[in-house]
Amino acid sequence: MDPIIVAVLGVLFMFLLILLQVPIGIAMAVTGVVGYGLLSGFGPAITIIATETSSTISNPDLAVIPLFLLMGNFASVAGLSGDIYKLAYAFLGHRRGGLALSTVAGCGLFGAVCGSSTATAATFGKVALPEMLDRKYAPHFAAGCIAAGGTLGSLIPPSVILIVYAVIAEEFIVTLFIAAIIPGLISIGAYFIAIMIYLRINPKAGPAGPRMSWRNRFKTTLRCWGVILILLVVVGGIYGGVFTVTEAAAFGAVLAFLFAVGRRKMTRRMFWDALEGTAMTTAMIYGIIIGANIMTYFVTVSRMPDELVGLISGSQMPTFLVLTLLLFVYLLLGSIFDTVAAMLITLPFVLPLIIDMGYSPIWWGIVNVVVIEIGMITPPIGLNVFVLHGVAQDLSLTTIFRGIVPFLLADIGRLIILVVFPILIMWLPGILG
Amino acid sequence: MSSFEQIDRAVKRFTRMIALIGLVGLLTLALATVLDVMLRWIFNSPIVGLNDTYSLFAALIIASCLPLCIYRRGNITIRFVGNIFGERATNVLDAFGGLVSLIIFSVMAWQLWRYTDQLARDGETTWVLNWPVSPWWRLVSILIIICVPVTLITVIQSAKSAIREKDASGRVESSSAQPREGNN
Repeated sequence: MDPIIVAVLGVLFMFLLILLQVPIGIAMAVTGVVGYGLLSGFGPAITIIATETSSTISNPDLAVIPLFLLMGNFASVAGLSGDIYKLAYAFLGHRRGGLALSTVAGCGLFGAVCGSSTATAATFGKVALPEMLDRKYAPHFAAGCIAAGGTLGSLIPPSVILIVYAVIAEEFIVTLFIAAIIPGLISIGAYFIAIMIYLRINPKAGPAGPRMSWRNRFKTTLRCWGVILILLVVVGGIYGGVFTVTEAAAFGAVLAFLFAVGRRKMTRRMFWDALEGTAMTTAMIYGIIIGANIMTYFVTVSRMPDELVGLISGSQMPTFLVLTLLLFVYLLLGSIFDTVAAMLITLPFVLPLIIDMGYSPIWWGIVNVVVIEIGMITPPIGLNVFVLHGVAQDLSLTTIFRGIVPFLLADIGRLIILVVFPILIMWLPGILG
Repeated sequence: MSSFEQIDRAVKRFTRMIALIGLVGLLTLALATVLDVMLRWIFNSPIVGLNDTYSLFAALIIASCLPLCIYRRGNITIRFVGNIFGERATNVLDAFGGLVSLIIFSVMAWQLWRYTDQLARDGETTWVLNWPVSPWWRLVSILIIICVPVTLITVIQSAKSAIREKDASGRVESSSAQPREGNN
């Protein structure tokens, strides 16, 4: 059979398995083995299950993922999210929508010690939502802030999804982290603007809080020294070239653990829960990566990506149109799948196409994360919305989706900016190497 | 308590224990890395060969997390079709997904065991410390083998739930039919 037909049927088979509730990683692995078997024989196909599993789980670059997840879980136990929120509120709380601005800034900062979108949304759902509702914020607006702010967790380095992308696309993790700085700041800025415009139209949705004196701001900052130290060590250490990413992750995990112990919040129960949470997320991510690696084997042998590139190049379709189509597809995928799954299912096909169109894989890594994260708050599914609904069940899904509208508009704006001006992503890696 | 429930409880405790041992290992690895950096800075004398062991430790830690994730159904699954057709369909499809997973984990366990045999035959060692790698991969293989019965337990759980749902819906139908008969 023609390899391309096998590949197309393979992709359809994979989606069928996913629809039939086969876990995504397993569906990709089965498709990879069967497809590779049909093209190159089932003897070699079965051996790739062992070779891909062993190379994935022993990959030292990917090993930073459980370390960052551990750091995020210990940071949550230590109550560092609360500190971040207080710190942001000290400087922004007196403005109209001060708590909303603090939530977005807090999500951005917490993203730097957590690295996960859903974890950030869940944590701030517990920390910020009750506070905003107490201060008479409109429930839909408060919920929208948190669900959208949560998406910053995946973009602000160190980010788990960027590490996965870097390893699969064979790029340097630090380069991707550097490339994410400006888009991360743009994202926070875009959400700030969305909040300000929305509150100009609906001033009662987010009243201002009392202004804090500079003395009290200084005191609050001092009280939050723990989180500032972790940020300095992890983020500063990586960007300053003091640590490798693995060392920074190890320092972050140990510091967060020490803070939790020092603050007497690390009960035996909390310790085991943090470890269990880390184990679950680690296994979930690795399951998808192993499946995606097996699938990539099959896709590469079928030469489908080359055919796809040739087909699109031959069709004379404008690059802009191809990109727009891709972005729509990712928006859809992001609203259905988890971020890692949405990225890894498509990467073997899409990355060669992006490179053929003359774009940098670094640029695409950032744009890819941004667009999938927008999917995380896009109806009908939008994983972050469901996570927040799980934390605050009094808020209906409709209420949360209603609150997301201004942020969704801001997201589309920032996505267009990042696509039209790739320099915003590529400039820092260019000058910092 | 039925014998299946007893087995189920034991599997729950066992998978949790394995994952926790693995994650304590991760924390230890993090502490060792911190110590390594400190020794490098202060005494210019890092822990010899720590990087060498990273891959082996990582493989063991990741493999230790898999049984718990399988038992708790933590792998990402789209339950779109099941949600449309109801609880029973969800359980039936979960059982199907579990069966497919069972096949993959069985093949994975078998192939990793053979891969370890190969490493042992070749006498593969780490670069710096010259540690033999096959014992580590034997442990990883055992952890993957553990995934097979754990997956089987989840399949049985889903199948039992599907049968219970069927019985429950059957009872509802018959109980709702009785008054009609009585009225007639």
